[in-house]
Amino acid sequence: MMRTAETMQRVKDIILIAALTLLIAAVLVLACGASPAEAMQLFIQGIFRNRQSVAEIFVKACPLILTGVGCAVAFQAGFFNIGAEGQFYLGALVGTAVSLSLPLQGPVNILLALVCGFLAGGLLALIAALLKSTFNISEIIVTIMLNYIVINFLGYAVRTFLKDPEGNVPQSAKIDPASQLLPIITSTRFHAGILIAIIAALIMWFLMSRTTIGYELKAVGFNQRAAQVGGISVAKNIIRCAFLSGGLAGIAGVIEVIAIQKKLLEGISASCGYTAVLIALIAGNHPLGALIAALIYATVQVGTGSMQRQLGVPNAIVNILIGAVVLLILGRKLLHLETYGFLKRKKEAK
Amino acid sequence: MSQLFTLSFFTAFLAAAVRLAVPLIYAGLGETIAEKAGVINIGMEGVMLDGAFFSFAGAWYSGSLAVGLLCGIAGGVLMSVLHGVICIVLAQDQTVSGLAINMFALGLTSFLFKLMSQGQSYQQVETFETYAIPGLSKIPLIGAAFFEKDILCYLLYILLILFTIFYKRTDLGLSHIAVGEAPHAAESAGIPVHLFQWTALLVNGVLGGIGGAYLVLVQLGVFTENMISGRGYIALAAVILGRHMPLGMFAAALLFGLANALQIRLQTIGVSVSPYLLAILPYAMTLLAMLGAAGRSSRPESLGKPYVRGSR
Amino acid sequence: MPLLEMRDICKSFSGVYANENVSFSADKGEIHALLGENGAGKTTLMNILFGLYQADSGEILWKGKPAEFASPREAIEAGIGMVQQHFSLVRNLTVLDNMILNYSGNRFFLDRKKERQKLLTLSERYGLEVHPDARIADLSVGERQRVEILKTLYREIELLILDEPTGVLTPQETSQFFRMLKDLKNEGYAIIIITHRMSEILEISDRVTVLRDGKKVAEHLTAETNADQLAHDMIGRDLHGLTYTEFGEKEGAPAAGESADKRDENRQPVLELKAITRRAGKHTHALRDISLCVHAGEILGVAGVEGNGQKELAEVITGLKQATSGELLLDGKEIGHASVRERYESGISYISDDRQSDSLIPDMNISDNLMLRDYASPPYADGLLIRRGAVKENAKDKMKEFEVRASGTQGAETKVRLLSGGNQQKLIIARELSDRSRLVVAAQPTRGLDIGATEFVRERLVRKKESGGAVLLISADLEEIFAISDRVAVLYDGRIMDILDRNELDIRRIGLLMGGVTKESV
Repeated sequence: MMRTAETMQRVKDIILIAALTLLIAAVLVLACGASPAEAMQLFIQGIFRNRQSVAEIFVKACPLILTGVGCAVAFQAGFFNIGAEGQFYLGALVGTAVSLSLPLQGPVNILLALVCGFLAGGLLALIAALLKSTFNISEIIVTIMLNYIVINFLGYAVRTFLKDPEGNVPQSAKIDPASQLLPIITSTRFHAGILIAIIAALIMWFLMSRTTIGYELKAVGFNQRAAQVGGISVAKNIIRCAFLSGGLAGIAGVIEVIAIQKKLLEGISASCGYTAVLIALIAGNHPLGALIAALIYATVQVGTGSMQRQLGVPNAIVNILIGAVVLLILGRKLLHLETYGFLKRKKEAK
Repeated sequence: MSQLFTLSFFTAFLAAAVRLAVPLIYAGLGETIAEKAGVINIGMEGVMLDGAFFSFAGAWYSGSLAVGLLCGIAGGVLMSVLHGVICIVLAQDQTVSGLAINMFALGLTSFLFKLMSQGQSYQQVETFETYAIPGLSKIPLIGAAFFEKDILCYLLYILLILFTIFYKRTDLGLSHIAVGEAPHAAESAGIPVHLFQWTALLVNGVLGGIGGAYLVLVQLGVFTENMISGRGYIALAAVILGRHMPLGMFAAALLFGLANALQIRLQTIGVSVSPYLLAILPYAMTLLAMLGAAGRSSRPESLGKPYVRGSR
Repeated sequence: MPLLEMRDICKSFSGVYANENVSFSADKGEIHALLGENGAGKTTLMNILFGLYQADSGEILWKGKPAEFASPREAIEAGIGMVQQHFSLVRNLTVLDNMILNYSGNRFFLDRKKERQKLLTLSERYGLEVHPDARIADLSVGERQRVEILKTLYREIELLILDEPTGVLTPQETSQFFRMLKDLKNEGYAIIIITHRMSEILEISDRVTVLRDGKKVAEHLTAETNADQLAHDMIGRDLHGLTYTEFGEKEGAPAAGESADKRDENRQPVLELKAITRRAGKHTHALRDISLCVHAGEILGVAGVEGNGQKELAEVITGLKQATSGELLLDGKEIGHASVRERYESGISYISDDRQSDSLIPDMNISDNLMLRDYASPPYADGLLIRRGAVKENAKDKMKEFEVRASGTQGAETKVRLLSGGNQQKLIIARELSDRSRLVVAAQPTRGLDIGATEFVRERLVRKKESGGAVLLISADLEEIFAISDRVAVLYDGRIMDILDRNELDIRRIGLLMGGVTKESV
């Protein structure tokens, strides 16, 4: 009985939050001097225009799934990895370097680029994990600082050692077509990396819910002290989750390069590393939740893309909305009528 | 290399360091005050960003710096009030709330800025003038760096001194410390814990807002998307390094200012190192400094733990 | 006209009455004891008076006038002070700062010089010796209590409420404390003392009110009552097995069964500590040169005032902290460098004094908490995979065997944070007292539990010993130590003062040892 009441409350919350988010969206659209009804129409049209536009949802979701699931795993273990952005870029950088420098092209090249990207992202996150577990230094500050360091280093790399010798723009040479992840649905950009992302999410879900590794990570996340008293190594698990989390972001970076951009350049993350934080929070740190949240987010992105083109509604609207959703989730108690009933009673008592 | 070590170089260098440190110090002071009262605001980045945008918008539409500053303050306060509702009223996780606020502020300011600019680039708004303080500004080396500044910078010096006295010498300051250390003990000493946390957060918003506004109204005259670029987080680091005291935080923030100024100076005198590598300097310094300060924790004992009345 | 009168006070928390129509009064120059078991509603009643809670109904008359205190501040300003069971001190501030916190005469600038003088005067007048500039974190529990009392006196109160003030004191400190209370009483202060110790009530109070299950069941003049009557009022039913006896009666009581020498011969040592020392700071020690031995089939009680190294002792044995020097043997094998997990696997289990933070993961459910120790080994796990079926089965069995009751319908899926304290402790016992455990380190295992749960826990510990296990029982509750220990070690300032056999137990002697008097001078 308790369970059903809780579920009911949850469903109510979700509906309320969705409705409020729509309302905020409408207000923002109005603020741009456009009509919400028209915007809605364009939004839906933008998504279902054709197979390309539907495929585009998955293309946009791919890096978000990987980074989002990565953040979810880390958060679940109590490690606030805000560094997915930097891990993404380091993965992209190392993946590109590996892909370009290997003499052989083809699947082996792809595999090696992915593995090295994973390691690069993972090792970057490991720095923060080691500093946290040995010196108790805030991983939030460390991962943020590392983001800026990596982003600047990338700027350096694409102007120097990774610069395309034949071009004059700050970007790397083109990845050999044989070593690219090609579209698997014709005439769309739906590439094999998307499958990698979805499979990664499924693996992480299985890991978290069905294995002793997941049990340890959750135990450490919920109550570090009790986990330690119970005989679970906190440091080992923080390192483990950071490595996994950073590695996933690293893979996202590699895929973005070898499937979409075909070369390394600045700004390719589209801030997905930061969006990932919010996606993990919305998903309640559940890997499959993160998968779904990333897909919804990407859908909204595609839809608002068409709104921007036709109505001039800035697509930064998506960023406001996702921030608002997290704040609404945190503030959901304010949506419950009981909250106010309680306040009233308290006042009457006085 | 000889031109590196002239007196005028050091003077200019120090002046730049102070200039670059002021926004950090404002935000750091705001964060110190919030953390003293037990509320950690990871959302300082968002508070500053909001302060920067609204001060720009305010100054742009009104043509008045004062209005701009007030708008910047209001923008900062808006974010810390949001944080307060979630963390104080609803007792939710302060870290999660702070992160959400950063992202929300980023979206909000980018959206509004695009709406405002409609894609075209803006001219600068006017910036605050500097006033040299007679006498003090003539001190060699540090005179020009510290005493040939704008009014907001002077205000900051006063605030730093006032808050140092506040925590060391006043009844109210002692009560604020008690709230962050042991809210239950504070409550039973008759201190209204939530009220104190609210006031601390409001001050946090005001100062964080000024910190963001300072970038626009004193330093740059323009707003750009995500222009705070990690300063909010560096301010958090400065608070930790400064051992949660205003003057300590001031020194730590000045250190970051120095790193940043050094980086810029090296670029301008044409050192043959990529500007991208030099730009890493302040961030790397923050990391090193955190490492150096590891193990000497000064954080208030109940920092980040929501206080619910009547519970234990 | 009494100084204070509380009439028909009712207070409920989520539908359960904590106080039901309780009336209570206090006079100047009187010590009024409030007696009752844990959860009887004593503290709730006093928290209402002190403004921490608001009553649902009923009224408070202060000096004859109706009063309601919305906050402690209002109560203090009216002249009511309270020393809570968990002290309300700020650990990182000095004694002086704690005292003047929010109450210095000046509303803005502090005059620490003047206040310091005031503190010294007060402390001299009532013999409450403390150093004004010491940080609270560096003080002993007894000193902290002195600071708490000074705080209330500084605030010029007329009524002083003390919640279980002697729980943290040695018997010697207690009698000194009682002398001070009598002084205060003679000066005209009204004093309310909350306690569950009958001996203290008989010694110090003028009047006693007994609460049971939130209701007032009796009010006596102390001179006209006795321990039996009070015990009956307080408990309201007979206990099987364990009875409340006054400490004095235990003096020289013969040990159950064989003599000490005979036991030692037959029983092999399970845990041995040889000269274990643990440094806390550069010059300070948490544990000094501790040597002791726990045999199979024995409960070794560790008595002592809390904060004298109990936590460190438990953590050095269970592997959470490392000893700086010394040897730690389990069944004759050195385990000083083994991890927590390895020690558990070789038979050391741990019931921590801090259930919520050390032993449970409140946001996980019952079955997940039950496998916290063994999740990685069969039957729960098959390699890396967790076998859900086995986990569920285990939870079902354990919940039945150890009488863990979850409200609601989710059974083993219930989040542990929704369980009552007693059920949480039963869950921990169910997990830690497995067949595998050879030695149980039990720290304050019955703290905060009701009588039923307390009995259950003690019975399980005794059963463990009877089946050949060893138990190290760390408790600040002497009554508990006396009830089930075979031998008793006394811990003071990180040192073992002496280890006494059951037939040598003597309350005065233990008290002196707890207070740091060496066995030679005892």
